[in-house]
Amino acid sequence: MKKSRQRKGMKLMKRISSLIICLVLIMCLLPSEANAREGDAGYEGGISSGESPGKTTYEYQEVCFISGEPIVLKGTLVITKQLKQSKIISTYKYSLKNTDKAATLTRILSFTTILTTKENNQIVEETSYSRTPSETIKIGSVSYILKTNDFTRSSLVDPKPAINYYAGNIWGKKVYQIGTTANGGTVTIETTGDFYGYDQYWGNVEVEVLNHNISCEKNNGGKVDKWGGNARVSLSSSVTQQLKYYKNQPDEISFDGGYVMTQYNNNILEYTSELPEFDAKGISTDKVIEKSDSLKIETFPVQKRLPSVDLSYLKGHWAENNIKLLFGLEIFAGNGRNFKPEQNITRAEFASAIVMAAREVPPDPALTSKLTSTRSTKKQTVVSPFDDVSVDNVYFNQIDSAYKRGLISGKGKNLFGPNDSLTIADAVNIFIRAVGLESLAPSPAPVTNFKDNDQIPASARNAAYVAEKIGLVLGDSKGNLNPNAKLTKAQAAVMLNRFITYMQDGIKKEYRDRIVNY
Amino acid sequence: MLKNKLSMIKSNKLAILAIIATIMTSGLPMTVISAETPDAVYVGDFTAGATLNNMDYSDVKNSNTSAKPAIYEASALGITKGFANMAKRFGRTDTLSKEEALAVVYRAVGREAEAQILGENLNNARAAADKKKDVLQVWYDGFLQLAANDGLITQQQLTDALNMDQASLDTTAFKRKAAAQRQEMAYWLAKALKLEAVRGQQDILNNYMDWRSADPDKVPFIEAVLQNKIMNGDGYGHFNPTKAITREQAAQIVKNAEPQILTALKFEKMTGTIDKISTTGDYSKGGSTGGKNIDVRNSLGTLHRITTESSAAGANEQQSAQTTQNRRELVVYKNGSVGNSSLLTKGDRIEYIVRTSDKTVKFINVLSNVNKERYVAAQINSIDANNLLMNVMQFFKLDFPNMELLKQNVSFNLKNEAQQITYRYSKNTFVTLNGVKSSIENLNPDSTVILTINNNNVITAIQTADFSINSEENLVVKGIVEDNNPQLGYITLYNEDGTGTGKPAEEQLAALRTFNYVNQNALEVYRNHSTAGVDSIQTGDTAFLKLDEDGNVVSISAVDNYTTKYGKIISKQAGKIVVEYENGSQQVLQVPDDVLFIKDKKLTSLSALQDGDRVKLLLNITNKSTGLKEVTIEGNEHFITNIYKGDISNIDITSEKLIVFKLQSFQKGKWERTDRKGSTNIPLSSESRIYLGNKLIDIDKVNELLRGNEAYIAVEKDYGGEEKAVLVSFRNSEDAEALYNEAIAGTITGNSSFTITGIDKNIGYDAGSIVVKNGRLVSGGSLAADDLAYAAVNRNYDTGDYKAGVVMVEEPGSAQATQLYRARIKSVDENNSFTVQSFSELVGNNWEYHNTPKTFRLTYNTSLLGDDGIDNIRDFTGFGTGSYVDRTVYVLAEDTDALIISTAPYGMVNMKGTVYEISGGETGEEGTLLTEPDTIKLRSVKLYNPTSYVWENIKELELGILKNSIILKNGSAIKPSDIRTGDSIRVIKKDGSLTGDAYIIMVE
Repeated sequence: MKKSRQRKGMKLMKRISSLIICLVLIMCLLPSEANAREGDAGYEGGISSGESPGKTTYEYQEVCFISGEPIVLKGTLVITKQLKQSKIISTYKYSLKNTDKAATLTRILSFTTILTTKENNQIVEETSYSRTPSETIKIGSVSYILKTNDFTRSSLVDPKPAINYYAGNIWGKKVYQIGTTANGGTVTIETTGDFYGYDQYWGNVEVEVLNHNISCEKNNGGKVDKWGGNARVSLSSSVTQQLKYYKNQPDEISFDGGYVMTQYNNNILEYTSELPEFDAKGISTDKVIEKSDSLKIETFPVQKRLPSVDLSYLKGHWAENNIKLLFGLEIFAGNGRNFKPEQNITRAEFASAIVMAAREVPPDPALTSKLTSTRSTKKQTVVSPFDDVSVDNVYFNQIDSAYKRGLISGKGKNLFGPNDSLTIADAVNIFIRAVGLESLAPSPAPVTNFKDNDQIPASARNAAYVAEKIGLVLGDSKGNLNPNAKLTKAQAAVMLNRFITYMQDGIKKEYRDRIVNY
Repeated sequence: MLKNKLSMIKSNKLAILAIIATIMTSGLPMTVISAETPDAVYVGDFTAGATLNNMDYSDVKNSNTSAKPAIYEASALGITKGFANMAKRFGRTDTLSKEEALAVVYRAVGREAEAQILGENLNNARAAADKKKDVLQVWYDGFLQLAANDGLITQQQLTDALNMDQASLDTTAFKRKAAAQRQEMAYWLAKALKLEAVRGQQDILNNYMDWRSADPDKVPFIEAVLQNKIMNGDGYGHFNPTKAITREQAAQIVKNAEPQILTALKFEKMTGTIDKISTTGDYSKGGSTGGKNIDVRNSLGTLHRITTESSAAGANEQQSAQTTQNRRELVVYKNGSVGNSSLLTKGDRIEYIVRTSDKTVKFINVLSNVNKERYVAAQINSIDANNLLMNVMQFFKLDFPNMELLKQNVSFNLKNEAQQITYRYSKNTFVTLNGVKSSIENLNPDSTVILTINNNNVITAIQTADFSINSEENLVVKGIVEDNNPQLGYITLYNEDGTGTGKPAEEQLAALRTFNYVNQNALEVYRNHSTAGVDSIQTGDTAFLKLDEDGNVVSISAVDNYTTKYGKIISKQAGKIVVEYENGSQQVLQVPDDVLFIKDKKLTSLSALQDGDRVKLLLNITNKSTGLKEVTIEGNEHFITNIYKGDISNIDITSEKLIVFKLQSFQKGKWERTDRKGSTNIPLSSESRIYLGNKLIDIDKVNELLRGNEAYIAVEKDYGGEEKAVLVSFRNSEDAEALYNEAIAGTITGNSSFTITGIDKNIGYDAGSIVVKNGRLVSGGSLAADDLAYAAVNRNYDTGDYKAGVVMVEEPGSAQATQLYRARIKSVDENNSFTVQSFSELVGNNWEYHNTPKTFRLTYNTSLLGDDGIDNIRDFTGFGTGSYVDRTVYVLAEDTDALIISTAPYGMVNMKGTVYEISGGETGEEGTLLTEPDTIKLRSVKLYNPTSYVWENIKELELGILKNSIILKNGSAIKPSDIRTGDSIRVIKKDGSLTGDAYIIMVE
């Protein structure tokens, strides 16, 4: 079910080439990673803390509607996963309780997830039970025992150079027996839902909205009490990285401050239920009561200091902070001493920046640990894909990676033009390609709001439209994009920063707050 | 211009066909039957004779240069001049000097007189000995001075140029007699014609391999003349920027710049075919003068008449100019030579250039004769160079070889003619490839061309042009809708490549991207894949148009390209809303009637929208306007749940929390201490703003400068249920704070202040004021007269001005209109209704008795409260052991809908007091309420004496709450756990004792 990680895993196995070596190098430099974590909360409509790689026991919470009253159950979820060819076998063990309501829940579920990579590189994931699930819920003196259970879940993962998007649907039906004998009655819970998410280096978000339909036929001293109700549960889990600048307190220190990258992990559940009111004897009444509440599991933020280079000669430059941050993130390499912001950035320099800013989607650590060990054992002769970029070129690894990941294309036959400059339109194209959103533009060719709309080259038109829409480019004070102007290093710094901000925050808003709140 | 047009047409080939078809069906002139009055009359030129005499250039006349018509035209318009020596040379291949080039440029824009005056002034200022004698030189001085004034040349260059001793100048100096370079000509012409320099756009220049040799300052201007097709390369990828320009090239450049130059000179060029030439005679002026009426059928279909007058018949043209000069004659270029009106014959296709001011015809160029040549638009299939044969697919005839006029003069007759045809072509066929003279080898099969075919069916000229073949699959065009106008019956699309917003393109090309609806009733329209009306197609939509063979729209399929944007409502006005988007920008959006408003997934209306609401907007954003389509209103996710005041000790930067001491919460206009003692942590929302006065400050500043200062803090319930600070506003502790609980008397617009009823002072607000209206954080501008406000106002210790720290406007009480009854049940219609035989109604503090039956409805929301709590409403029956008939119950009803039926005992004693303790409830260790409280203690208790009608003070009171006690707040039933300490309540109980149970509790 870990689509992104899966895909990564398979891909990695296939292309164990020179790229791997440089990837391993890059990975070592990474600060804390926002790991792809879809599936960490299971598929039962709960939230889990699921944050640290290698950890299998998570803090977990869900809301149980089986008795007709929302009951928050808290406890642990233990997940084990195994990758076998293109299948993932996973087991989820839940142990939850609510002491106030004298409620307990134990549940063991095993799933098989089959991944199929389609011709267009998208991955279809199908998850179903691999073993008969078991579940027992006790609320006060009443127990509910899972009798039959149907479940299906399918999603589509669309991997883009720097981000994997996914969307899927879930459908399940559980029938519980009330009490330990067969004549106590049944509760049937049917669940439909959809989920959306993305995985990428700067953060990941998954949002799921589930609708439970509960119907109960409870035998109450010879009389059958029948009732039904609805519950809508929205779940989100997000990992985000934030960058903050801390100025040093003492004056006499060799650097003036530095950026700190903080990783936050948030898991939120909100529910609204419409269930009957029960009378003093526990029999349902005609009145339906709406209840809503929310749960939250937040884990402690993790901080990481970023290196600080001396850019004192840029003090007051309009892109000073942007440049500082990019050096801190090592997106701009080096000690910063020879950085000339008004110089045109070369394609090689831009390639090396973009592979760091639009990093590859981090693989699922639970599934890649074995792969990592095999990486270093297989080395192959390194061959440059370009005649004008030798393997000794300082930017070779980055160019090679940017090219192979489809971020930057070459310039004609076997040429890359590492020392050529690039235009704003080219850069916009590369950013939008990284997030794979070209198709947001209307067909046949969108008309942008830039004054110089007509100057935008056809090849960058879709990208320019999307970049404008998501706020990646703003245009100059006159409302021009200047698509054909050469990109300077300072402009590149500003664009790279906006790109990172979008990856950290912009896209999260779109997924989380908006799907849930509206 | 023509070439320009052609290249643009490429982008939307079929559009042209559509236009053509439209014109064909709607507007072509009818055959003229009777004598027609000319629509306009133009006259010959008095100076035509002199002009013809001057331009009898020996070196042009006998040459076969392709620049011939250009040379004659430029000369006739007075832009280029020949050498006035006896040989009468134009100096065709001579280089043009810099001063001459400037003269050409300025004459081309009609500024010759200006230059002459400057030249004369310069000369007058010279010492007598230095004065120039040659008037031409004096004038050139003027052109140079003008060029310097306009920035075409620098002051240094002017100094160099005016240096009397040109020979002494060094090689880098600006020598006026030196040859003008092509890049100079380009630069000067672009400047003089005020062409916009094209920066950053080097596509075209990059097509020339030698562009780097051009002067970088001039590159944007070279680019401009290239884009305007005024200058071209040499056909081999060179622009030759530093090469000298020849005089014939200069003439050709003038010709190429015709559209701009004619505009600058206020000349007009028209095209037409000579219908008739008739002679006229006029003897009224004493002598005899004759003349001609030349009737021209203009390409637009109108009739133009050009009149000439000449001296009496028999005048000898070969004698001296003075005596033989024709009056009002014409300069006519035809078949490679120039002459007067006598060259014209019926059927000539002519271009005539007219001076608009006096309708004088300055130049006529005879293109061809309808009887000798015809024009065909075609696509080349193959060229057999050995046999001089060309196979073409021809698809329509043109009256003029001019794409600009295509819309007016094309005619379809594909059906009648063989489409595939082989023509022989002349060995000397004049080939123009994209506006540049070329040769037949450079033509590619599949090129679309306009062929000039003589009456022997031989191709004599070919010019490339772009238009498409009228084939089935091409009958679908697509694009983004620029304009849809069903009233006038047309739709305009942007170009398929997304261009078409720039000014020039907009003006020139809109017509070519416009398609007509001929029969709107028969039009098939789909929008977002459902059938729709044609007026539903909107600007910004992606549209596919299916055209019929005449180019008219028969079917449209369009989808919207709406964009979602998120924002906050700043204000709502009649028919419009002001929105602030996430990036901080604000926009006023019109709200047409068809905008959908959605809240909680239910359709609602504009009235549901309030200032401060967060919204998701569906917008149709085009480069022309932003149209509002749909508004989704967010629920209470971002409502302000509390306003606090406290001393902010510091902000924890990592976890982004305020650490606050002395925390008080704003409750009904009063600051009340919160439960928690010591410090309280309030997390900051990701959108939080911190103000010091009206200035936004960052977190760091708080820790550095404001530790321990008092601030107002507005918090909202964040996603996930936690209270988070959204607005923090520091107050100056030296200011005095006053609290008000009054209606707002008025607002003073433009002054950001308001007044409160009964208080004679203006209270200002700014960005740092926390203004909350109906739970939403708004700006002070949303306050309105009569709003009931709780306000915390600060009086500046220094100035004495009042500024609002906190203003909270409560939602006008939406108390449910419920009524409490005490009644005896007569009958029950299960799950439907019940009837009481008589009832008492609670009015004020008294029960009013009515001895009449009354029926209440049982709804899905009716609750039945029995002695053990909630009873099942299905058990509310009139039979069996549990029968309710004859029982006396309380009924809380809204109109006749019963909300609560309670079996609580009858009471008639009213008491009131303030709750100071609530007990008996049980909460589990996880915070779940396990049992409801059952005891409340009241202080400040008063007992109502129904005989004296007064409230008498009594002691404190402890009351039990029964499981079937009715507790009301604002007319709605609440639970015992919803009662708060500090609430003022009224109770109805059995007697006036200081203990007992409260049957009815009303929270006030």
